[in-house]
Amino acid sequence: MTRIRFRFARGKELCYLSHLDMLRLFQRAMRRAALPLAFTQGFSPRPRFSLAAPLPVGATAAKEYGEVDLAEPLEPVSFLRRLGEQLPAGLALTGAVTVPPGAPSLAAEVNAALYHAFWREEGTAPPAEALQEALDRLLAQRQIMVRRPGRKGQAGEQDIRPFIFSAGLLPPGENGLALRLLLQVGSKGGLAPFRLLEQLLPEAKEPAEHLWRLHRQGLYIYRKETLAEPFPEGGGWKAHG
Amino acid sequence: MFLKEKLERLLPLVQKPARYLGNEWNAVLKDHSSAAVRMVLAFPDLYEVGMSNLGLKILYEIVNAHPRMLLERVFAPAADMEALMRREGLPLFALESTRPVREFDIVGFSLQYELSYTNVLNMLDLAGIPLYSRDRGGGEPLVIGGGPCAFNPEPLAPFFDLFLLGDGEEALPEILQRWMALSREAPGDKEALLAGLAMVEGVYVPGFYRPIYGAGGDFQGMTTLHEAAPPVVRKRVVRNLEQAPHPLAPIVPHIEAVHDRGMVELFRGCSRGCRFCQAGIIYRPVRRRSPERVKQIAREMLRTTGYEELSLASLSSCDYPGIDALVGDLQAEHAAGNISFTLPSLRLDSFSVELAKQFHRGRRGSLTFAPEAGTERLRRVINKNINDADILAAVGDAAAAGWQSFKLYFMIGLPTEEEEDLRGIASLCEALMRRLREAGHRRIRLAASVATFVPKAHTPFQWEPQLPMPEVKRRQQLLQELFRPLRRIELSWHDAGNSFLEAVFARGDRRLAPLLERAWQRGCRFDGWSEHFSLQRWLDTFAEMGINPEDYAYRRLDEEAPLPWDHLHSGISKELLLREYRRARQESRP
Ligand code: SF4
Repeated sequence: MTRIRFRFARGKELCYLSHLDMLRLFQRAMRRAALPLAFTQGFSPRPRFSLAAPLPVGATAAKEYGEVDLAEPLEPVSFLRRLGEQLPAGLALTGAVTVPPGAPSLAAEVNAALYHAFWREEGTAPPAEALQEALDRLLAQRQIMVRRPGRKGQAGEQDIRPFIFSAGLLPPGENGLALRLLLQVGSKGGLAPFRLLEQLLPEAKEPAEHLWRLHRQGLYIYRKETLAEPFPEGGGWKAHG
Repeated sequence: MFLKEKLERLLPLVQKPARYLGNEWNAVLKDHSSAAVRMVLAFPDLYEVGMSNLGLKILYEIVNAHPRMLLERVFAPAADMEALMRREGLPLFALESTRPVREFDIVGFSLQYELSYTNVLNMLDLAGIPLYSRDRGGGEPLVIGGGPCAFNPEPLAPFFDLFLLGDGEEALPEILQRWMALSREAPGDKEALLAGLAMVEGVYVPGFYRPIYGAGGDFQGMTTLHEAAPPVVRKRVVRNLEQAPHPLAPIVPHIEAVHDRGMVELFRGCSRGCRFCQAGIIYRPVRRRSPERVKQIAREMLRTTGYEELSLASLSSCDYPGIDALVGDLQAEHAAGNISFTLPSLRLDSFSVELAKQFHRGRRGSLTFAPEAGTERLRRVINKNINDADILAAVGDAAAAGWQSFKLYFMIGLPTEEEEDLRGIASLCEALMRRLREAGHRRIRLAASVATFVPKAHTPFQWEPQLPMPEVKRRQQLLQELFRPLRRIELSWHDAGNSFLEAVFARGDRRLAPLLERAWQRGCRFDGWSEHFSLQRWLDTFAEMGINPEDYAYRRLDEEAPLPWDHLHSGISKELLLREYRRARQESRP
């Protein structure tokens, strides 16, 4: 059994795919590439494959990660070539490595996501100072209680403050008004960026999805105030051989 | 491109934007400037529904394989998208190139069910194409239609330039070839174009025919208005399915289609002769693909799509000779990839224990059977000759092989139906449940789905009235009461109003066309979807137009009289249908 971890970028061509769509797309691409997939045991065997963290519908991304188990060893370069040929425009593989035995899984490692959120409609953006103020006010709260979609009562209330590692305005650039959000993701709980953006402009008449365009810069292992990429060159772990 | 930019601004605002992308794996984007004919295949329902249609996949590959032809797709935009498109002035566009549908040479609608007709009009309107054929000059796209509803397309007749009856594999490329030649010879001359196309076997140009009505409004027959129009249009049949092209690299949708799997067509047609069934008539004769060809197609399709599941499709796949062996071979060949193979429809009388076991290896899910009627008497009337013992045995075998979920399809309102037949539905389900429990299967799920009989053109029951809606509802209630003590059996039924409207259009004539337009203007769309369907809106439209829908749905047609679809030949003669109809009535006697 070989585990391969790969890195990819998602362009705007495919930014509207849901997490499930992405899983299906990758699995089918891997089958087309005739990779020697390893399967789960049981009634309906599935490829042992996962993506690090769901990417919001509508978001493009620079550094996303996936992991797949193969029944036979395969050089990462061949993996890149074979799978790359089977991916549609809008998905580009940017790296692959063999995971050393015993290394923690992606899901166990990755706990932070860095987003850039751009205001979509030029000219309608709120003033930067007002946004900065709103941000300061929000971050000054010890608790930010929000209602989780589709849940009622006490269980539906959730404090999202602990999931915000940092949030701030990006220096003005050619993309206009933009925010930088470092949020928690993963098995210990996480925050979808649009939920935070909703809190930022609670008076907005349109859903946050309509106002902001999202780009995920990367997924990280966030520990002691430092960000490490879950990839050898990023210092996340050392590849052997 | 202007349209593309506008679209990109709308996508974040709609549900499931991936419906409108057109960049799926295996989608074909050809160069418009080098194509001699450019067609868009229009499916008047949501993307997820249309992308599950085998006919669309077949035509897409055939046409695009031709170096000088181009075929793109368009589906009915969902209500939220439609609203935005209208607000922003975005015309209906083909998915692959994001070009306006109106810029294509031919728009071909897939007509799969009557309740999609308002969507056809809505799509034409969104495209900015005049609805009526007579209002479209030589510069407008040619609007054509095919699919099962082409066998009685009269309610749509004035909107379409032509219909194709029967198989499209050979006929559509022929139509396109002819279009290329004719539009070179006489550019912009629509009459010459239609006259030339009317010569293609299977092509029906409705504008070349005029219905004659008697003083009382009774239909008296069709006259032809053009020498190119044959008095009777015969359907196209692909004689050799083995050699016919089959999709080998179908598009793999980004989002989950209704049937989210590959499809290999085992055979076309069905010889069972159930008397209510239109598919059984119009897809005749039965034509098969050999097991070798099926395996070759499956191999190729898995390679090009990466699907994890293939459906072995046909009207009645258990009837394929050697189906057990075929499934066994396929599973063996693709064992390493854990590919599962499924059958869309199972027949009780040809379902075997072997098959039950084989499929179980694949995937959990439910087995579907269609006894249609509750008693053996009524099953004889409809020519679905299976007995209760067979049904019990088949389900018992399947349960023994590990299946836990079963769906049974029934129909109410069938000719000669009595209360006893309804009781039969409940008692059959009860007997099944009892049998399964006795055999020790505890976690069985049984669901009964009850449709309403719709008399369809070109079937032995085409002369029969539909059961009036109030009576349908009474019988549905009776069923509900009968099922109340049968806890753990799920009962569901089709909306009576929906089936009523389907019956109106299934035997409709040209007088319904203006009504259809009016209903669309009043906002009717997606009539097959319960969240959109409004019976009241339709009834109001009928009243406004002075048409009594009951005349269409509830009338017993005169066996001697001409029918509005007599000039369209399904391959089965009216005499034979009538003989079958009379036989059915004999069977009804105990
Ligand atoms: S109902 Fe099914 S089995 Fe009967 S004729 Fe139609 S397709 Fe064949």
